[in-house]
Amino acid sequence: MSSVMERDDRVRAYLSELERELRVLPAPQATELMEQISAHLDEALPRGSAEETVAAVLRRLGSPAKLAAEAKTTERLDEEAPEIARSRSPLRHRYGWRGWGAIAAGLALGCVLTTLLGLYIATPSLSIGGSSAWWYPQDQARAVYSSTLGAAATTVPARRAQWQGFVVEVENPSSSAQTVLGMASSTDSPTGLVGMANVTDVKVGVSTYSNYTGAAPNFQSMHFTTGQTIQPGQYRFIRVIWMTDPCSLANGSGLTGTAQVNLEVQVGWFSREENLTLDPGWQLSLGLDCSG
Amino acid sequence: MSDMTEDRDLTELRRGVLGPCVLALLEERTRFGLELVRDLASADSLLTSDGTVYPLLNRMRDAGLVTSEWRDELRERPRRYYAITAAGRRHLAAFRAEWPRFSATVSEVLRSPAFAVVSDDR
Repeated sequence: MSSVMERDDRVRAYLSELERELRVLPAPQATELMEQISAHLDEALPRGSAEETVAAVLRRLGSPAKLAAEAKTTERLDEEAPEIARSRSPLRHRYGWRGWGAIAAGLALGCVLTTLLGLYIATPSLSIGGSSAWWYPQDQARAVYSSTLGAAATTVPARRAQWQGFVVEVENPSSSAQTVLGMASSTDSPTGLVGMANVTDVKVGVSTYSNYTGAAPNFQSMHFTTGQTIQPGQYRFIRVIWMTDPCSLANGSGLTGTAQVNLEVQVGWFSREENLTLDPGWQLSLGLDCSG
Repeated sequence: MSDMTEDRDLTELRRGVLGPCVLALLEERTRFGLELVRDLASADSLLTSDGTVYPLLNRMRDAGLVTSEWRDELRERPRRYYAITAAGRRHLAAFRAEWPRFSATVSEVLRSPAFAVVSDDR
């Protein structure tokens, strides 16, 4: 029998390799497949599984490269149509009066861009709405809500090498459509989750669910993708998930969390960083035994 | 026919029939991912690797043939359950109607001496 640590190492190595191989896919598809394979391994390999069992389960899953190729085969079907469309409409280079026409069009474009830039600067950012929840049911079941000195937070235990995350409602209060492109990375906050340590692979998706009717939303039935546009006055939900690794902390205890998420958002033809304040904040308690 | 071509043919064949087989299992009852994989794997030679079921499920979900939802059910870890949709049932019914004739035709061609000669000549 192997130790839990040995088993985790093999599984983690498999998942790491799978994540590398899945980089050829759009992030939402890659994230979803990672979640499914992680859940499959969690279910198929209870703690204390024999080394032979681990090896057999991983062998039956197929190599990460094969799995990615299978997923890519599916993805390619969706890509074919746009490729054909692009190949049929190449940018034509023309001389003579057409060249002058292009210059005139460029000048007109410059005027439009200047106008759009003004609109872009004046456009209010997305704002957080009132509905939110931890994304995974096991976190929902363990969440503890607290409020200290006016700062509210919801806290769950960190789950080692597992995906965790939350869903929050957002509103587009502006008169321009806004498209969430992804997390905004900066030197101060490389993941886009300000103040949150011990997490990697942070991903954001926006629900395809449109205007919120006020009934209790069923987050799990929603489909989240990146590149979703939120129309003026519309509510959507954003899902932020990450891979938790509390054991990278030397002391392996304490809390980490965030009360601000930084998003890369496209407004008109420009993209910008939008800083969304979260209330409550989202916290992980790191009281895990990392020695095992 | 080389081994590689043979493998590729079988892989394509499995890929083609796996979707309807998934729908048939889900028509019986909803199943979670590992349960579905194990039921498919128990059918001899239907699955070459368990992992390939998940991209297929996602493609079928995008096509509106199945739906999925996470359920907690007071377990240590939640499970993602898959269910067939009305469109999935129609798709399965159409496949079921076509399959006997199709498989019988293929079997007939494979058994014919003419096909054997062509095959040996390659």
